[in-house]
This record gives sequence, structure tokens and C-alpha cells, in this order.
Amino acid sequence: MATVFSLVALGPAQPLRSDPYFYTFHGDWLEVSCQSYDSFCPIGSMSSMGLGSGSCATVPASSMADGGAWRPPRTCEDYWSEWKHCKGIRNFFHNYYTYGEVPSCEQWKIDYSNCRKWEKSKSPDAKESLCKSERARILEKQKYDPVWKLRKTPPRDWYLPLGQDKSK
Amino acid sequence: MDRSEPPPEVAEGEDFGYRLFPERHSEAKRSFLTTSLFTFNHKCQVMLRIALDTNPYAQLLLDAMKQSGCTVYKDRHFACEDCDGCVSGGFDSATSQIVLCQNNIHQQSHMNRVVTHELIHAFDHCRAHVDWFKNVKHLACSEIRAANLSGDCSLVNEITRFKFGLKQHHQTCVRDRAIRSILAVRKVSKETAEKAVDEVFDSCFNDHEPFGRVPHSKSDAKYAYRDFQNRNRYYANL
Repeated sequence: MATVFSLVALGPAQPLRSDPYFYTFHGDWLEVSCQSYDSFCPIGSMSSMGLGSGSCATVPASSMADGGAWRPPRTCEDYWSEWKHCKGIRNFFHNYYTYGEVPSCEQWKIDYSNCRKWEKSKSPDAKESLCKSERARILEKQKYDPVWKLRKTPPRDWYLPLGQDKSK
Repeated sequence: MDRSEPPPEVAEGEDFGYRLFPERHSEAKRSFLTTSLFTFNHKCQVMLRIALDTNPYAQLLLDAMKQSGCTVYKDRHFACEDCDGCVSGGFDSATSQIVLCQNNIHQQSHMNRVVTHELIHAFDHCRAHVDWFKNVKHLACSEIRAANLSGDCSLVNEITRFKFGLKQHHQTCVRDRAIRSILAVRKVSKETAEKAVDEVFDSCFNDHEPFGRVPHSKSDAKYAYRDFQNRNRYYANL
């Protein structure tokens, strides 16, 4: 699509701000907010392309990796260690203490299996399953509306020498 | 959402909690000799340095703030001062400084927790338009997050306060400590503080940024730090 900007063009090496509210899924498409980049991209040019204001790019969700070479979002070792950590006695206690219920760890094990499957055979089903699982985790974090409005730039007086900002 | 409501008027005589930090507005500065000999300033500085260099909670927060455009410098953004009462620290948004109460923090574990707590406030200040002075709901949200994510409400800490509970007690503790913090720094009624906390609790209790989870231990914090460092790969492959 002519109006889609690949994140490769925008510089995937730029570190991303990791707030789940910066990422919105529209079916198979992922909209990335300008605020997710350290150097904020111009909003004006985006809105002229028909994207929402504050939107930086809209790309097929599974094609964001460098040069289109997809990898599982986490390493298989990370999935394994998350599963082991989840089913440990400490996490059982912490989850009960925080949420009043037993933790559910099965999805980490499924993700680990899919990760290994992808590594062995590049199975498209495994890839799809992994992406679906991780998107569900992000959607879970977006369940509630934020109380405040996120900034586009950091506070302007953060670096001011002491004494100069006391007029506030 | 809350953003469209007009912020309430500031109460008469409101001092925004600055009475707890008398050195913040004191014109008279102590001499270097007085500070060295008669205060815990040096001990506070040493413990702060250890917390920033070794505590995984603090390291993740410092990294996240750097990525958000607010690099934290120890000499600019931290101040060890004598405080009134039992308060352990505070975040002064007017000067973008974290205040550590050198006369009330005597153990490294306590320093680690206070630094984490105040860095969460600083992180919120950096990433969002938080109206600290006029919007009690914004203050409530940041206090809920700080109590939730800093380890303030661990079972061990609660037991030392003689507060006993197990199932979902973490949430009870977070709610109570958020209300307590609001009442300490704002001239509002207990009902107002409780109402503000209740209204924003679901949203703010489940906002775990930048940790991505509730870090109950240093091990949890290390997992969270690993995820944070991996975020480029994570979001690029969704």
C-alpha cells in the first residue's frame, strides 16, 4: 500500500518507548504512535497521508522486523524461563497475595513450544500463534483507559539548573 | 475520561506538603561543616549511590526515564535533606527533584524502596501530563502506582507494620497507602482522598509501566529489566 510506511524506513534501530498505549492493533495492522520514538516524527506529514494525528506508521503487524526477517518476539529461552518462573512456589504466593487467585502459566508453555517449532521448521502456524498470544498480552494491558494524557515531549524544565525554575 | 473534567479549586491554606520538607523553602543554607558533622547527609549520599548502582528496580526506572527523554543526574535530581515527621521522601515537580529524608532513612533496603517509589513519580511526571497540584485523581494514580510497584506493600513490610492479611492483601495495602500519602501532602478530606483513589484504582493498579509486571522481588525486577532491554525486538516482531 502506498500510504504505509515501513518501520525499516523510519529507523528500527531507534529505541522504542515501551508503553503499551503507543501500540494499537487494527486486525493484522499495527498502528505505532509517534511518541514511541525518542526523536518524535512530524505529525503533520502523517496526517496528510490519512493516518490519525499522533500516528507515526501503520504497518502489517508481522512485518515490522528488519528487512522483513521475522523472529519470535522473545527468545525461546525467555519463554522457558518465564514459564518456570510462573509455576514456581514464589510466584504462586505473590499472585495469590496480589490478585487472590492461582496464576495461569499454561500460555507460556504453549508459547515456548511454538517458539521451538518455529526455530525447527519455520511453521507459519507457530508464528501466527505466537503473535496472537503476545498481542493478547498487550491488549490485556490496554483494558483500562489511562487517567492522564501521555506527553509528546519531556517536561521542558527537567534539565533547568536549580533556582531558574522556582518561578513555578 | 477524567481529562475533560475541570480540575477542582485549590483549598485555602494548601501548602502541597512543603511543610514536611522545611529545607525546600528555607533561605538560610547550612554550612558545609554543619551539614557534614550534624546531619546524616553523607550516609544518605552513600546509600543513594549504592541504590542507583545496584538496585534493579532503580536501574530499570533510570533507563526508562532516559528513553523517555528525562535522563536522571544524581546531583541535579536528588537531594538529601532533613524532613519533618515520619516522611521518607518526596518528589518535587516544581524543581524536578527527588527529596530523600536523610534523618528518616537509615537502612539500605529502606533507601532502595524510597528511591524506587520516588522514581516512579518522576517517571510519571516525565511521560505524562500529571497535574500534581490541582488534580487529586492524578496524584492518587501516581501514589497507587508507586505503592504497587516499589515493594512498599510486600508481605514482610506489612507484617512489620502489624498489618496482617494474605488473599489480595496487596491491593488493600496499596489503596490504604495511597490514601495516606494523599492526606499527607494535600489539604483534602479523607472522603475526597478515598473517592479519588477508588475512581482511578482499576486503571492505575493495572498500569505497570515501565516494569510490565508487579515486581515482587529483585528477581522479578531483573526479568522486567530484561524485557525492557528486549523491547525493540519485541515490538518489531508482533
